Amino acid sequence: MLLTIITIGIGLAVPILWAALGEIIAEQAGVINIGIEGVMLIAALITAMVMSAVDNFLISMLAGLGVGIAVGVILGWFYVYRGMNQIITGIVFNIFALGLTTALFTYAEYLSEELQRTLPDVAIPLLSEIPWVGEAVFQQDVTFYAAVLASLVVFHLLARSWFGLYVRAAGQRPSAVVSTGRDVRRVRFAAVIFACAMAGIGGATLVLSVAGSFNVNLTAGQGIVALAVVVLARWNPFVTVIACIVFGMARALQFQVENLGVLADVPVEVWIALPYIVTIVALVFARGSRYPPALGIPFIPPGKSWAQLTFERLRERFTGGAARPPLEANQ
Amino acid sequence: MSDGTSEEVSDPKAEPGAAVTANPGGIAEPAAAEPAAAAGDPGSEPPVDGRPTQGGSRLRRALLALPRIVAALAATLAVVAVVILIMGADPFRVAEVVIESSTGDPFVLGQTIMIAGILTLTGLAAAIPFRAGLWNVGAEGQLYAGAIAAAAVALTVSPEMPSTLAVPLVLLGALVGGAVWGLIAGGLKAALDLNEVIVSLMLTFIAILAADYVVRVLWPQGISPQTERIPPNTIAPMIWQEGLVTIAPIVAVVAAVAGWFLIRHMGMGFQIRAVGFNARTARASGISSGRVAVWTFVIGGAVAGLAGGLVVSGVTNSLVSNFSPNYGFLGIAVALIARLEPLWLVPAAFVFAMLRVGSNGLEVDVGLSSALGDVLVTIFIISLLFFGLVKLPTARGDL
Repeated sequence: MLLTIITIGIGLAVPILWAALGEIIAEQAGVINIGIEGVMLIAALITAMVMSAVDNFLISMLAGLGVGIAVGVILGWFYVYRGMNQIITGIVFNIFALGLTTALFTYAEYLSEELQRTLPDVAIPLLSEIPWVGEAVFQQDVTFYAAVLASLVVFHLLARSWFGLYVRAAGQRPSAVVSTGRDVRRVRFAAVIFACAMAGIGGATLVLSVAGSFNVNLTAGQGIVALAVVVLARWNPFVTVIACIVFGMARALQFQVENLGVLADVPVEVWIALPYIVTIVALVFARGSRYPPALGIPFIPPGKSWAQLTFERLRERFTGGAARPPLEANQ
Repeated sequence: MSDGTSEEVSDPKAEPGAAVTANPGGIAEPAAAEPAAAAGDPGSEPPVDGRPTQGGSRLRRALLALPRIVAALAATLAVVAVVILIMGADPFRVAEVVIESSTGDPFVLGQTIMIAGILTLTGLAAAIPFRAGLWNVGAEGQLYAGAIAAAAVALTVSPEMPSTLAVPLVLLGALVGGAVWGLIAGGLKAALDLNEVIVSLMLTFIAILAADYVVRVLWPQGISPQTERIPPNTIAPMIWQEGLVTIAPIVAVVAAVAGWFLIRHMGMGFQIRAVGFNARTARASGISSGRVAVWTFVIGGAVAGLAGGLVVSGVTNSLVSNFSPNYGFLGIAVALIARLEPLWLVPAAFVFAMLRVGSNGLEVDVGLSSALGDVLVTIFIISLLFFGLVKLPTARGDL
């Protein structure tokens, strides 16, 4: 029974894991992206549409990724270049995404009826034969293995690469990035796009690996849970994997209520609410987590903006002012 | 190129006039008026306000903002029109239908007024904490908590109790229910510095499930997803029978005025604004940010709960599963449109209520999903933020 819960739990953890891994990078760069919930939702809808049109897992997954990147560019523009309040923009974007997907879904209700197949489970040769662990951990579908690999990639990116160094500096002390001659906003923009791309994959896995179809408000707060997981895991990709699996198991319990023996009398609502309660409790335990100091504070670079410079140049050209030196290269 | 770091600069894009008048006042103010404010004397009005109050500079500010307001409106309408065209409908027809089906006859007009009342209250639930830079995004959950408490009180009080006593008791229950739900988020913020955004969102999901439990187990009514009907003596009185309007809009306007009084003329309101301007300065001058967190969330939760109570008593007359079509979240949008000014919540809520009620007509008349109303509203909010028309405290990671 416990084995079943772990097996289901790992499956349910995968979408949260993808979203959380992306969010680590964004938050380390100083941008809190609450919009991941909405990104997951939109990506899930598009993935389901593409899946029902072409019936190909890879193309659908790439569609989800593409949606994530496209939305990431827009959100990154909002958060980073327009300096919009990240929490409110994120929340409002989530409501937007819920409204948009609900509206589009009325044109595509066939998506919920026609139950599509989910990705097949892949048993890893030798490892899946380990008596107990093997069955639970090494007989998942390919998205789980990919997510675990992604946690390695995120770790490498964050802790062992130049990009990660700039990302962490952008979240800790943006002025340090400026003093190296880099553009803080460009670093943060890239981080937000990365985060949204990962959330897009998360939304795609939600359809292709977990639900098998789309429905109104399919994410149901999983993006927000991912936000909490990141804080709980203290921005460590490996701890994030473990934390997500714990959350997945908390979610899995509601499907196993009848097998819980003494606990079967507990109302089903409590089991459904369990992941949310666990989130709050987890935050209590994570209260020592030190947020990146610049998190949530938009960075305004010294000097004139690109738009201002362009505007001035155009004005001078049309009013016959003296020619200016060419645009400063924005590295 | 480099003129020092701008890490701490929160808003250099403000118009020169506003920036010059707002900043020195905002920073110097807490230190000067701290003893009176700390004493919590409601009569002591802060001598300097954060914003210029003279008519001249206000007018100037409004004129300076005008091009951006026009740009935001034009951009919003353009985006919305494109969305509607993509969905295969005529934007002008949609606008016509929305206005017609939200104010066209007494029934829909009454509905619009009722929803405007509810949105004013949930807007207040967002606006007061936002003024302190605290992001209470859980008004939806506090609304449900208030509704659960109201239904519980209404279903337990004696049906013989006079209605003049029973209705206030029900609404008091709603107030307390919402306040308790807000207190959880605010208290965890104050005591353990938990991220109030995540906590209040999680509490929203939990409250909705708690309502499901109450409906399913405690007072079930057959197979329909709602509780037994509440007794007639606990139903809020009607003030306009034809439009089915209860006392809710009056309560909402009174609450908005009270919110304005709190923010503008009370010691606590002053502390709230001080924390919103600059938490560090406020703390240095002796304002307890934890106390502000607890109070703003309790007050916000209470008004959101009141909204829930007014839905149960007078609209649905029972607790219904998933009764709220995002009233709590729309409250955030209302608060932003009103630029966090309690009195402006009332007209802002009315416009939103028109959109909400009017978009029901879309489904019938134009064949568009009524969820399009939310899309419209959120695009509008995002463009307000985009053009910098709403000034918000910076979203800090910590307080």
